[in-house]
Amino acid sequence: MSKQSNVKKSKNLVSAGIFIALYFVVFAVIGTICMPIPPLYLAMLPIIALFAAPVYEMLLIKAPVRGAITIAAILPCLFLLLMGNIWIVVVTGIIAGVAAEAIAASGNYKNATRNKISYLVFSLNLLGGFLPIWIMRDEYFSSTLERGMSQDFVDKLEAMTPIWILFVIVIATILLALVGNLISTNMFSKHFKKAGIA
Amino acid sequence: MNKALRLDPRTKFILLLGVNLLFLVSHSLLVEIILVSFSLGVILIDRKYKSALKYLIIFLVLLYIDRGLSVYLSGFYFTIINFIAYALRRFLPCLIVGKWILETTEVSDFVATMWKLKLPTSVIIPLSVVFRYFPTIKEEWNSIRSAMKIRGFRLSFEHVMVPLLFSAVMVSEELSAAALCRGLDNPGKHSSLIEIKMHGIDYLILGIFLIIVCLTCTLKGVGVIS
Amino acid sequence: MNKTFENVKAKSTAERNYDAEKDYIIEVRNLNFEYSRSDDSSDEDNTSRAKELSASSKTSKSNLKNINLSIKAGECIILCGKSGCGKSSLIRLFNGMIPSFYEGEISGDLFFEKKRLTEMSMYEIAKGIGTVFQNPRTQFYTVNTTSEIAFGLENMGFDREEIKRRVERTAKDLDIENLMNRSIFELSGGEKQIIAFASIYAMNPDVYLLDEPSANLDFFAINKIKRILKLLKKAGKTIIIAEHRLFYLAEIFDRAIYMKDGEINREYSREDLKNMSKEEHIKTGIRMLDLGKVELENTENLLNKKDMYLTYLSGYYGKRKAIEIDHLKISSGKIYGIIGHNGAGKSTFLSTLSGIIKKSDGYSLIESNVITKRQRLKESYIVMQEVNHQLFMDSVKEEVVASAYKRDKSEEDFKNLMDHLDLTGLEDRHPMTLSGGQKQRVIIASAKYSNKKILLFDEPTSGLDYYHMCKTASLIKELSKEDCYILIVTHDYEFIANVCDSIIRIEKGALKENYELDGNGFDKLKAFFGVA
Repeated sequence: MSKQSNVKKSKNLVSAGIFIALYFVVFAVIGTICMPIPPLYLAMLPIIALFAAPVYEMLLIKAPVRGAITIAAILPCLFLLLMGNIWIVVVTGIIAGVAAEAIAASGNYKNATRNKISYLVFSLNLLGGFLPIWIMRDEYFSSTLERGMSQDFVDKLEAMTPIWILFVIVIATILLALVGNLISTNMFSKHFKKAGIA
Repeated sequence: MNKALRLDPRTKFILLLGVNLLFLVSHSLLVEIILVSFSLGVILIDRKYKSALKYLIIFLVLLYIDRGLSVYLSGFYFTIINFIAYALRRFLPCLIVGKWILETTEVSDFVATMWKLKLPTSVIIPLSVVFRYFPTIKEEWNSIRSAMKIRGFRLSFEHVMVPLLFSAVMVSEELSAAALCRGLDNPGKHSSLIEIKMHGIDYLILGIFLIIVCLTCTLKGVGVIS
Repeated sequence: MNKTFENVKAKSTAERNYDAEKDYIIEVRNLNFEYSRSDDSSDEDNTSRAKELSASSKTSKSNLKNINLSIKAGECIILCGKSGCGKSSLIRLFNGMIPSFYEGEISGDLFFEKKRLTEMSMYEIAKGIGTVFQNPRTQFYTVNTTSEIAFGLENMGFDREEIKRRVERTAKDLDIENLMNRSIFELSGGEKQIIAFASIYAMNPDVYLLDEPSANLDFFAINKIKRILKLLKKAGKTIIIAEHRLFYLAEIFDRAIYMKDGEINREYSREDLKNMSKEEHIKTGIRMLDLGKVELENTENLLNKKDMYLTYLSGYYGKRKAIEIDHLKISSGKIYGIIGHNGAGKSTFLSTLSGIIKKSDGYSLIESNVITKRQRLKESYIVMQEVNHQLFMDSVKEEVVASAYKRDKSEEDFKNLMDHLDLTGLEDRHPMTLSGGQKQRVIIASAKYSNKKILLFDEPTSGLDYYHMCKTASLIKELSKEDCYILIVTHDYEFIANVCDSIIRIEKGALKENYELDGNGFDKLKAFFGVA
């Protein structure tokens, strides 16, 4: 019956909004703690991946509807854009979101393994937000060198911000996303499954 | 007219993206100053005098660190600080525009804009619920915190997440019920109380911005700036 | 009524080919409905889970059996009965949530204006039937009052000018112009509920369905709802209202349908309800129709009382002093009712007394010993209105036992406590699967288990029927025998008369008066609630 499916769809979309909001709050809380401290700033992505897992799982269970994951992935990116980050962050957000969505949807949002992989991909949504460090660095070098800065400082700063940090972030995020997923699975069987809502 | 200026949200978003793209095109100080002046100009038109002054001072201080202090100071730590100051300064126009959008765009206007842009409901419904649910999360967090205090529980992930998620499930059910009983599932025509329309001022601001874009690109093309 | 409203109406009525004068607006014949066990997660067949699920859903989802009901246009009908009797299911049937939103097995006939309701889409139904729900916190969709009132009209695709006209008209008719264009989050529960009414009113349906609209409201907000209902009745609207509290409907309703176990048990006229005996109230769960008939039932017990003194106790929100109690004596073993208008600082008083508030000042003494805020926090427990936010554990037993505070209890004590609070057999259940009353008792059990001495309740009987209200009252009376300080913030007049020994009235962040609830005090209480 189409009227019923339309009602179901609307219900799922509303639920999606609720859990996307919760995910965003997890992002915002961790972001506010991490942003001001440079080393923690780089650890932001893995930390979010660790803590957002239960919200993601609930999103898939309660709002199995096309588009929800993509919106969840893009929303924090848009916020970073508003806070002055570069547009590339939105691009990585879209890529991560669409890919995660496709993976989860291929298992009808119910296949545990696919959902897990989907979460790993999803967790990389903010990766683009870290690129400005390197873009700005190179810009800074050229601008300071133009003004006669010594090559020595440039080398030191370069040594402190090697590009492989980006790969470390990616790997750490995937690992912590796995751990987060484990904690979440545990939490679900302990609470939500037992209570009959998941 | 003592009412604040109400620009079309579409204008705001174009400006945000535009400023964001433009500041990466060139890192010459000239373009930077033009961009900062432009964003300050926009928020000045919107009567945000205080924040405009604040941003102006921040910009000047950051500029002074880079161009003034660096003549006298050197050393590794200063370089780091200077690097951060440099990066912050470069991002300042984006920040000014972004903050201004966050402060001046009402959720209802934003939702009406999404309908105006004819986005699919699978985008509009979740996003409008997101903004409605944020304040509720805060209320619930306060209430959960009190309950934890009274029982002497320390802050733990599980004790926060479990009640929050239970509550979210309940709210999602009740909220969608209330919305469906007011016709949310109507697949037909949807209208908006709030009218989203481009006015003269929108075109003016977008026009000025377009001139800046052209100017920058020409200068860069000719090779006057890098 | 508004002219534009009428034009629309005239047209649609002609289309429907329905004669409001002669026909029933809603007709139900031999209707049965059974909720499907689990919605869409059937592929994970876990039998123990399914069992638990069906056990848990009993509280909120009650099946309907053999419903026959005909409702005339312009009638006001009360659906009453104990929690879980099926009145909410009946409301869900009328607004189309059954079977679209809640799936299940349905049989029988249901007509709205001669059309089969079960074949209509929810948005089509919404044009003729509007619903106001119980919880003011969860039923608004936007963040702004004006947008909220326009929400339904926007979904219907009305022209902008028409929406504007209707929103303005609604604000005028319901006398809420002062609430327009505000953030909904600034509003009180009562104001939120009025906005919920307004958003339905703007859509101008023929039928209003109300699912316990007063459950979360204070006495004064209920009176405002009453005014709106009178207006609707006068405009000839059909009103179907599921409700425990009847006093505010006394002048409005035409008949009351009593439901039990998903069936229509009997019908009450106004006379029947007026002459109901107390036993019958308890048996049926129906609250008093005439509050003037409520009698004092408190029995103060005077076992070796201890006194707690509060001097200049104040609590702050940020820098603003939200409450200051200059002098107050609280005796153990007595039950205190805290009353006052909305926003007077009653809840802040509870958080200040319990010590959970961030910044507070002043002194508190028990006998002659000064007790600090930290000690108060250790000694006190608040049973909050939103019980769901107070449950953290995965089993009832864990929930009761877990506490950071020192205690000296044996397994035997635990068993007695469970028995005492009627929770035996539920030890392994997840707290979230319990009914509202059971959740409340689990929280009380956890307070007792950790030996808390100051027990504070925030609206413990909101949304309870008479039977469950009396149960809560006798439970609290039991607690008072054990040398506890008990304070209850409440707006429930029947409950106060049943349980409280003394009244603390707080207004504008200060103690206004404190009196014993004897004959004299009862008159004062009546005056406060405006009971004749």
